[in-house]
Amino acid sequence: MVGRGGEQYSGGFAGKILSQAEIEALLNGDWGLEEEGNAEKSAVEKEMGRTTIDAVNRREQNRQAYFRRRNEKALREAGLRGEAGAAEQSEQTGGEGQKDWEKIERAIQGMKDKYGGSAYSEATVQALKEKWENGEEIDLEALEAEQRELAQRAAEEKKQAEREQILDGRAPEQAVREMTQDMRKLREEIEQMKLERYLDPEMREYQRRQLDQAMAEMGAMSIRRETILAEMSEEEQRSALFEMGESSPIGPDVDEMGEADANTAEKMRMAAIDMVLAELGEDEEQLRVLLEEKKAAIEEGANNTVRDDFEADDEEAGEQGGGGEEGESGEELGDQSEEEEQHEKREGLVSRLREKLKSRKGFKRVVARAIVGVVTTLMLLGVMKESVGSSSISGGIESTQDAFGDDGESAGSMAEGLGMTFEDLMNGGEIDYSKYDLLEFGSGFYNDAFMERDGSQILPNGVMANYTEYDTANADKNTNYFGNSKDFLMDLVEGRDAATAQELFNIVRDQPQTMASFVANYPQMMEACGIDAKIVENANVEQRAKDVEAMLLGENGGDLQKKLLAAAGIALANENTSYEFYLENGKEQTFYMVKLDETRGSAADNIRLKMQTKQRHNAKQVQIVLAFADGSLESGDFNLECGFQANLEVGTSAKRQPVIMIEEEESEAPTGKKEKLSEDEPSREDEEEEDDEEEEDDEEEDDDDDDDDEDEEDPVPPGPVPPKPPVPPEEVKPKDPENEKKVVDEGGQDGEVDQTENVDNKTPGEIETPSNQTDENQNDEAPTGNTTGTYDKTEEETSTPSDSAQESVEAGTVGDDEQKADQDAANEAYEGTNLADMTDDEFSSYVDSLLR
Amino acid sequence: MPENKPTKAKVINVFVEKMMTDKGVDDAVLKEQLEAKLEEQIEQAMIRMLPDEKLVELEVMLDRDASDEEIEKFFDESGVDFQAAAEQTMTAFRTAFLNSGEAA
Repeated sequence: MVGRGGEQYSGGFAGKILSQAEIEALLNGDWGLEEEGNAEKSAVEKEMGRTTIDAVNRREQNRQAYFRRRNEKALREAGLRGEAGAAEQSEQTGGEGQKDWEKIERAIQGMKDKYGGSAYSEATVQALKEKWENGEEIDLEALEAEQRELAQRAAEEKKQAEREQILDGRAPEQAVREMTQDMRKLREEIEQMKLERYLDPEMREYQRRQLDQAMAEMGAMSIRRETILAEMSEEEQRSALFEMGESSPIGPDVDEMGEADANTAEKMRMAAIDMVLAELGEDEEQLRVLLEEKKAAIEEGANNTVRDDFEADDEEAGEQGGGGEEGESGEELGDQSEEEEQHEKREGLVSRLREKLKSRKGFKRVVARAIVGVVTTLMLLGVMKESVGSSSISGGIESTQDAFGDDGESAGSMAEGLGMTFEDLMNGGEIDYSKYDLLEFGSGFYNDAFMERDGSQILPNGVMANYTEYDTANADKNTNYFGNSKDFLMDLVEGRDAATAQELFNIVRDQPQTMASFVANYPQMMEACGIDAKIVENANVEQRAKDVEAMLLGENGGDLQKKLLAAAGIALANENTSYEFYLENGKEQTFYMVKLDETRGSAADNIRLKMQTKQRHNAKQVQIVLAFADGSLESGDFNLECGFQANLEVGTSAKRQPVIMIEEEESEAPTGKKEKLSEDEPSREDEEEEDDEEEEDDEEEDDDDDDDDEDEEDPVPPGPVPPKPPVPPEEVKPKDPENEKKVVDEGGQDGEVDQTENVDNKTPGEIETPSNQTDENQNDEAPTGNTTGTYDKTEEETSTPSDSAQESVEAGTVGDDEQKADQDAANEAYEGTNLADMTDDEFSSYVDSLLR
Repeated sequence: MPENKPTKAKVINVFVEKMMTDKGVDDAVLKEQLEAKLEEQIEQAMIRMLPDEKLVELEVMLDRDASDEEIEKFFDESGVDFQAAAEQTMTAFRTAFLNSGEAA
């Protein structure tokens, strides 16, 4: 396969080994996410259609103008135009006169009418010659005027003849009435024909032809009637039609003429296209092809106009197994409609369930196991084939069935059906840092361009940082997010993974502490950047992160930062990297960042990573699994709302259990299991806080933004602009990152309960109190008692900046309606073709449109 | 060297990429959409395999906000061969894609 840079890739279809330039392009926002909508194609086609008609008109005008100019020139040259012309004619005699006549004759014979034919007949030319010889003046203008008059008279006579033929001795009003009556009868016959259904294809074809003829006759009748009506006054027309109960054809509502008009319009279009085609030169092949296609489409459309109903009826007849004429019983029809109804209900239920399940970890695990299980057999077959191939016992094994019996046969057919082989799955594309110079690669991102951004800073050890997003996200709030909420990523319809990678890359690039918490989840990444094995192999991920943070702030931190960013970027850009989005419900530990000394503001060496325990409720999270070339898989779990704060297991600070089933690589160390809640505790009940001991000694600090002179807006970095996230849907209320504590008065709780509930999901009648800024909501005690699962409260005690400040908490209950509204709004905000909402037919049509 | 373990993402990635290559199509946006559509269809097929009473039971579970573990257990104990459903869906998906656009 050839990559974007023209490089040849080894391996099969599993992935691409990107060049450094390609990765840089990806990380700079060039994900190749071109938007091509059907709407754009339609607009272009419409424009081309208009262009075609305009071209036809222009060509016709140009041609007529050409012939006019040509004729005038010829006449001037022949001396038959202008004042001198007449004088010249009278002076020409003898031999010179003959020569002049030849010149004039040539000019006259060369003159063309608007169709390119001779303007004058031979007889006319001869008559002109006689005049010339007689010394009479040749006045071509008068001749042309006479010709025009004759032509007009002939046209009128022809029209009159047609009219008389149509009238056939009747008065116009009578003719109109009778024709209207005939049209009405014909219309009824057409409607009757449409109702008849035949299973026999020949009969259906015959019926179609009959219907075509009837429609054509209807059109002809309309034209004939219009011919008569055109000669009548408006009052006479209304009078004639009113008697028949018809509306005036001159008015806007003329149903019976609609078909004729449509047919006429189509014929005119076809004629226009034919005219243009006739004029096209050899170098206009593209336009010729386009026009031919248009013509074919119009013909196809015309043929289908009268058949649409039949085709629909045919399908219905086919499905039902017969039309009315075939004697299908009403009872059978009733049974079938009931079955269809039940089927539809079931499908509706399946769709609803899928919508509810798609973000649930439990279901995701089941799906992942099923999908991976499908290829396990393939892999097994491949492994066995390899072992057979290398075996010294080779005789008699000529097929997979020989080797593996029926299982091999079925596995082989499965491989054929899936189109995949063992090699496809095995062939590379995974992350291989050995192919990159990480320091050089990372240096491309930490350079003058970085420092030119507002808010950028550099430490003596070379570490660069920019905490604009951190400051913005936490401004005037008592929060300690890494950055702005990334919840919108989960709702993206297209480019979700790419957008996630971009957002994560940006924040990791700008904030060394965030970088440390990210890379700590991926030992291979740390190892590739030269981090000591003792740190890499520590099962306590929190400690790993803090150690990396310390290294970044220490000697040679600048170089380490460059390498880590390069490694992160390569990993995020790898196409085997998976991004699993889900809703988290449960307790976990999560990182945050605090300023050690508020007076120093957001200086890189003044900010530290901290850890807190949080009870999540439908928190939007993403799990990022990296696949490395050595076959290992490593995962990291990140909270979106807080700007990719990494999540760990409570108590052990080990990594969260992966959403998808992968083997844990730290199997030898006691990774610890997810803390089991006792059975009588609801999963969302708050428990005692479990904080790091050192955090208990930390002073509570405000999180106010001291950098008043900093621009609140996140500055656009120089160079390639990363893709901007779509504007969050306006109709969806943004989830308040603040701790919206509401006192919910419910039974079963004692006075110490402090539960919060998202105001957005309040149902009418429930008790609600003002926002989290009230003192009564600043309760640090652990809540007890029954819960409805509709609250979320941080359990961080000593790390809260102040008594009045609260840690950010997750939003409360997100009802189905709101989720649906979120999804709908996200779809609107991020326009794009959503295949997930298409029916199978729509999906096929969409694919067809892209493949044309 | 440890055995290369495929993830769900890799399987779908390889499958769709192979499918598009066999069709002679190279479009990153289409690939992403096909992957999403495939995953959606597999999920629906798996849910569809459940008997009617299980569907109703599942709906009740979800309405009362069952935990992720409960949901996973429900599917594991349903007795349905979800792997077969996934395989059939993938095969049908590939067939439909390879046959699409031929009539045009």
